[in-house]
Amino acid sequence: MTSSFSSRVAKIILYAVIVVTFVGPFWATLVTAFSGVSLKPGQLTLIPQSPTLENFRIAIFQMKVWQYLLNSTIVVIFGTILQVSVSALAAYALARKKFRGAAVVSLFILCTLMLPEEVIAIPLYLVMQKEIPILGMSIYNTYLAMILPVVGWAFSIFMLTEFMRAVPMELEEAARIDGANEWQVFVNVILPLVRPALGTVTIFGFIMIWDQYLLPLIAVNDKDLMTLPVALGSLRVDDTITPNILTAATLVAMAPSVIVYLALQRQFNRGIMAGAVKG
Amino acid sequence: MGAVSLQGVSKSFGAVDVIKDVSIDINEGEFCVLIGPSGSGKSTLLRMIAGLETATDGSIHIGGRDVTELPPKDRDIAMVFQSYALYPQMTVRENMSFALRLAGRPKEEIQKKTDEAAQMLGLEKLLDRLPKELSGGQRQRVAMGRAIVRNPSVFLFDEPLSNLDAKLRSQVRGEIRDLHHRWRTTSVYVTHDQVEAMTMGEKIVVLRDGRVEQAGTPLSLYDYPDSVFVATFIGSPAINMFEAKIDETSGTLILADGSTRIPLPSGYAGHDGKNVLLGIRPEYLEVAPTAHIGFLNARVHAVETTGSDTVVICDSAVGQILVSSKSRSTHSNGEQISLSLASEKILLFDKATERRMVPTTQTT
Repeated sequence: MTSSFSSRVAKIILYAVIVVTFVGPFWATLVTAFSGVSLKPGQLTLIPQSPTLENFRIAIFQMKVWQYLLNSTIVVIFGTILQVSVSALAAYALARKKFRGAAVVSLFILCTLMLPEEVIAIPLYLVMQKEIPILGMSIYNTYLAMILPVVGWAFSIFMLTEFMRAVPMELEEAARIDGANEWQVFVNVILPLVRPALGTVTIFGFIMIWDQYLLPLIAVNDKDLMTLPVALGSLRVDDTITPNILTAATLVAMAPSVIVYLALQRQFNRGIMAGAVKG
Repeated sequence: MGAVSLQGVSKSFGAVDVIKDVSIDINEGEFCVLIGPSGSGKSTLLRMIAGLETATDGSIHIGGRDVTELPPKDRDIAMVFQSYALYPQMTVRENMSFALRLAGRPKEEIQKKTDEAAQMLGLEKLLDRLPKELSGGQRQRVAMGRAIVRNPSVFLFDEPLSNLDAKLRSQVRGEIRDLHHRWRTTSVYVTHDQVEAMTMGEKIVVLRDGRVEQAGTPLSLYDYPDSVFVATFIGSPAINMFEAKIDETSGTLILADGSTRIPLPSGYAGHDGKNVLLGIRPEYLEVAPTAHIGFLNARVHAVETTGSDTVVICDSAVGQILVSSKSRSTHSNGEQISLSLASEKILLFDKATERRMVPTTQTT
């Protein structure tokens, strides 16, 4: 009886520690952002006091977070669309087509996962500075500099490849006999059947691009083009900005990821599950 | 318009020759069945006609047009797959109309043709369902409907009934036959089930190791198989085969046990001393009341009955013997019996080549 009671108490304490560890920081951010009591830099509060939306108003309008939010939105929308499109096309070729050097191509794509971002940062910066011959301009300090490097992502290519491999060959053959060309097979037969995987790579791609810090940092130096994570970094070191405003801006930055996750949650879970079973 | 002709067609996958110099002519409106054991190349041959596999050598003509190098969509064919290959994300209507939509046909025409096919196949009430909401038989019908709406020159069937239970298989078999009689569209049907082949085919092509072993009408293959392979492959229950030697002096066939003699059928003169294989279908054996010269002595091993047919399985000095009849058997296991053979139905095969020896009296 005593032993059972003490083990229950130990469990509760353990759970409490885990909850405080994980939920604590988020709670502190939430409470601070809505708190009307101005805090000193480096401080956070855990107790809700004088709730207000003023911090959000200051963050969004005075600190121009709306501008950074817009930049992030432009980068993430075009980046995700291009990334998913390119990944789906690449996966289709790798999964369904036999061509010389397919294994080497796969290996090269895999290799890109092994390179840390920091390793390619300087070469990428130098490439961005180069002038594009026909256009007579470089992509440095444009949205393109933040979008193009994230278009090819090995993770989504491999995930979609595995899903597309699992689509029975007879369906593709039936479509060809029905008169479908390559593009029609891809759009009408293969893509609808890998929709759960498309949902998953869209969420992962969205979060990956939204959270990009190093790439936008080196790709642009114009403050008006900064994305939210970079802007938050620069706001953090500004002593004139209170933690209340900074946390409010942080919550604004988090919101889109949470919304996208919730919107595509079902697809996401199905994709993850199916991926686990199909290996 | 839909005659299919294969001339010297071969197919190799790397060093493996799967189809070897096959030539087949299928007349317009004919129902041709390709049959053979696993690995005989029947599905590969069908896929080559469909354009899903390219021919390494030879040519394929459909409706007099050389289609050897054409993609599937330009061959004017429709195919029913073993797995049905229905698009899971599309409803029955969308599945059936997919080809017409791709071809950019007018909406009214698509609607009309889909409705007609659905009515013909009894699918009217299922048009808005997804394939996962259908039974095996219904899916099979949708696969047929998808083929029918296109009104192609040639229908190709790749073992379409193999996923159905016995009762449904028999029913759908009849439906396919009826549809063929109504449309008279050239059809090529692949199966490994010889009952399907015999009951559906107007022409049967028996394949073995990528070659045509024999082609002909179902009954010609049954009655006059060219080889031991065809004789044993066609027919259920299987043909009885015994080793024997021709003895022209006594006008008999001496079976392998050395003592049993069977009267030599006419038309086999000039083969004295030749080692042969004697083939006799189970229905041409009869249980005789008493032992007699020219009869086979055997012991009843088991009796199998389906109600309408009875097969008596016997053990004898020359091997196992199957006897089938329409009458009910009164024999019990272990009973000694004598079997008489209808000598005019005996088939003799050269033991060395396993090819049938054609009697001089036979004209067919």
